[in-house]
Amino acid sequence: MAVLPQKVSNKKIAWSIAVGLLFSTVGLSGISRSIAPDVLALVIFYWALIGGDVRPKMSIVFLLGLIVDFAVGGAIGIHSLKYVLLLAVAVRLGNRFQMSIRLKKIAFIVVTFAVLEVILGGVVLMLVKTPMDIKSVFAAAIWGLTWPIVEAVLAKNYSRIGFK
Amino acid sequence: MPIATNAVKRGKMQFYAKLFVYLGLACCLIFFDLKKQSFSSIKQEVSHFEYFVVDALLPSKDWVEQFASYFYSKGKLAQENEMLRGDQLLKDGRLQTLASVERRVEELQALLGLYQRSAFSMHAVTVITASDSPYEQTLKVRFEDGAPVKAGDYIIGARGLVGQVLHAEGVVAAVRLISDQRASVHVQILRTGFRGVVFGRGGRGSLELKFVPEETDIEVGDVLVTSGLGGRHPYGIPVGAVVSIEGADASSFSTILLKPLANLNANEDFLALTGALGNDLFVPDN
Repeated sequence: MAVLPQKVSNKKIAWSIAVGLLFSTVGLSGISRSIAPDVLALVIFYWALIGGDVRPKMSIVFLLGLIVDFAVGGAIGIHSLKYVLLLAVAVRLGNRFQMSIRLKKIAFIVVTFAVLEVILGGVVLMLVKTPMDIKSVFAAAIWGLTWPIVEAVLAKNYSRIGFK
Repeated sequence: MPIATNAVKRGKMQFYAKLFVYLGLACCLIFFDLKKQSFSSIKQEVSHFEYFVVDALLPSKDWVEQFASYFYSKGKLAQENEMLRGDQLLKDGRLQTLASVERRVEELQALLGLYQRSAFSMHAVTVITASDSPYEQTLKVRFEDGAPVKAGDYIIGARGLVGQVLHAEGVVAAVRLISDQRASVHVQILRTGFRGVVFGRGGRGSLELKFVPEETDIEVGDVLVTSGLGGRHPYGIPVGAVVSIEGADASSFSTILLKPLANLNANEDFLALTGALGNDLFVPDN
């Protein structure tokens, strides 16, 4: 089911993903990487939630994760895992998400990012015994609060979208 | 089983199959990277490439930073400017208050000087209300309890005559300013000794010396003082200075306009001359 009545062009999604990729690899000046937003993760998740048929493909998401991993210099595959999981969650729960009220949507996004960060931290901890950075878990969750902004932008540009 | 349900099931299966493949692949990559360091050489190459790219992009990065810092500093400057402007307004207000207090202190000092210079009876009065209508230029003043302020007393400021008491009741008196249309003061020109009558014109900044023949020796800048005729009021209280002289076509009298020397508008404290007075109260500057 296409969630956006006025279909978003692939070009727009590609552009937003390119911008997200740039921010996720280069980082944001003045913000420490541990608490900086993973813009690409947010972009992928938001498009996956509302994009319907035009949501990013799993193979592309996986490759984007690999690019980020190589660019950032972290554990290879960790971002791929993250993006694939985000996409899977969005695909499975996207319809229910669309039906929810705004507060539930925000809570869902915040919880998803926090849980995912914990899972990834757990994977790394399991393999190399590196302690989990609790700050990054909170930061990832807090950046999920950007949803209302995205929602407002989309509502403005795609007036036929009925946001609850 | 319906075909649609089968298609949905097949789609779901495909999705989960793909998901497990990619998740497995990602986990394998993580395992090989963290446990076996299989990608360390690739990472090294990538980091070299990154250095190369960063070096190549450094000038443009500087330019972008300069550009950003320009806008940042511009915004900051605007913000500071706004703050300074607010601060300036506040300080202006304080400065004006100080200036007003200073002016009042000067006025009070001048009045005190007048009071100390003279052995005659005078009492301080403070303005309560003022009527600024063109038809009625009056003040209401308050004086100390028991002060013998009565109708007809002159009210003076540090620079000259302000008005005359119309009536007094309790500690409040009504004062008609010399600029009131119904006010008239018998005056003398200091330079020539010519006597005449000054009338108010209904505006606080304007008086008129009426019934002066055209041939009278009078010049712009001449100072007019109370004549003291009649013995009730003292001689020599400055009333006004001539600001314009015009000959009238249909009359043999000149139109002579004066500016009151006392500040009728702004001052809050004056003196009421309440007793018999001598003539040495004011010493004219010129």
